[in-house]
Amino acid sequence: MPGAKEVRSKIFSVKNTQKITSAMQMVAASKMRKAQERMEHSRPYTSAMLKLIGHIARAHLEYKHPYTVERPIKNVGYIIVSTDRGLCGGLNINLFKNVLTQISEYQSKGVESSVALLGSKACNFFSKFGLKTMAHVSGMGDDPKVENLIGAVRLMLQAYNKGEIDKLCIVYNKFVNTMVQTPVIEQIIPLIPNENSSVKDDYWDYIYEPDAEQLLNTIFSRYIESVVYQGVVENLASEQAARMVAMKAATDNAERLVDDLQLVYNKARQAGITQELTEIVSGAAAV
Amino acid sequence: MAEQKEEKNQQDKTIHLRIVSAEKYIFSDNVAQVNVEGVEGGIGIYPGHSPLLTFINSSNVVYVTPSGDKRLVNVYGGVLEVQPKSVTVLVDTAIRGEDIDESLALESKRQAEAKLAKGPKDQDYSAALAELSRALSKLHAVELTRKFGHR
Repeated sequence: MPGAKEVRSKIFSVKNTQKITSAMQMVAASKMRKAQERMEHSRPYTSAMLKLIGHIARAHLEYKHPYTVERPIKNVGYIIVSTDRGLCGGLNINLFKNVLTQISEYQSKGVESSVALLGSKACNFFSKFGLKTMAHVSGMGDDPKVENLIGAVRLMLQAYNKGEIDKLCIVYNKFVNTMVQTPVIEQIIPLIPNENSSVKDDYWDYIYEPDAEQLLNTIFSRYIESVVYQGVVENLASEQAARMVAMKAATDNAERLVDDLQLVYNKARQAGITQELTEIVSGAAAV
Repeated sequence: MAEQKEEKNQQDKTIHLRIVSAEKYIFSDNVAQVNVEGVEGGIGIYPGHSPLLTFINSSNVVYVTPSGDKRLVNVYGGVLEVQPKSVTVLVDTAIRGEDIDESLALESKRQAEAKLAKGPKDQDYSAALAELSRALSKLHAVELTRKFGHR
């Protein structure tokens, strides 16, 4: 049985750790609220954009933009959104595992993959796998700006235009609620036609003012920007939520540990007292 | 049967208008008619319009509700998509006619004019020009809203 003194110092250290985790929990909770707000602000724009893109993908365009033409897939590009910091449970690992499963599935069919990594956790993880890394961005902070992301995205688009990749997907954690964040892999280009829409699959085309090429280029670049930005802010909200939950669990565990240790400490203390008493009594008896 | 037909008629007479800015949903409902200033000129949209795509700089989206009420939303920078049954306005910023701060718009107009007075050599000349057109369009929006009787 350990001595009372050792147990007491252990309790002290666990309590210190608990203070840190509970502080982190509170910080994550307040950051999550902000991140959630940011995410909800940009959601309507992105979903309206997706609808518009779904319509465009259904039209028979006079101007064949590369993003609307499906090519046989030989190389897939992924934009992988991860967090910059750890201590957020299995959030990143679950996401990475999902991507790796898909990548190895493609690999068995002879399809190569290239990645663009956002967030330092993805950079650390994927450097081990020898995938072709086109770009990486880290240190996006709590308020990501489109300008910081756009460089990496543009590189992927250039690769698509040159034919180095034939499909571009974005991978991120979708924020469902505080307890649930689901990893998703969404195709960005080529554009996916909107399935459940009132727009018919007839042979129709838009009237363009001023001209098709200029309009479509602008719309597509806005579309990609907004989808990537949405992915990043969703992932950020997921990160804070996951961290909050993980830190809550850690705080609760520490609480339980302290309780157990307290019991051990009390027993050790009592044993010490009993021993001392026995010593005194037997000493008195000997005199 | 007659009721169904009535309902269908009602549907044919309206078009779904959706105005979304980068921050939030401004408007989403069925309307009878929409008027927009595109980059190439004004467009009047009734239900059943052919598909159309165009840019919007700074413009007032005027819509008529099925009950005949006229309202407007002042928008800036974006695209307009028309489908036979829906109109989508995707813009950077948008504000309802009723919510525009007139004194603020007047102030920014004055500032822009002061900058423009320095002549075209000034560095922020084009920015000031954009600022001025934005302020003017807002003031126009205020005027129109007043004419529609919502201020």
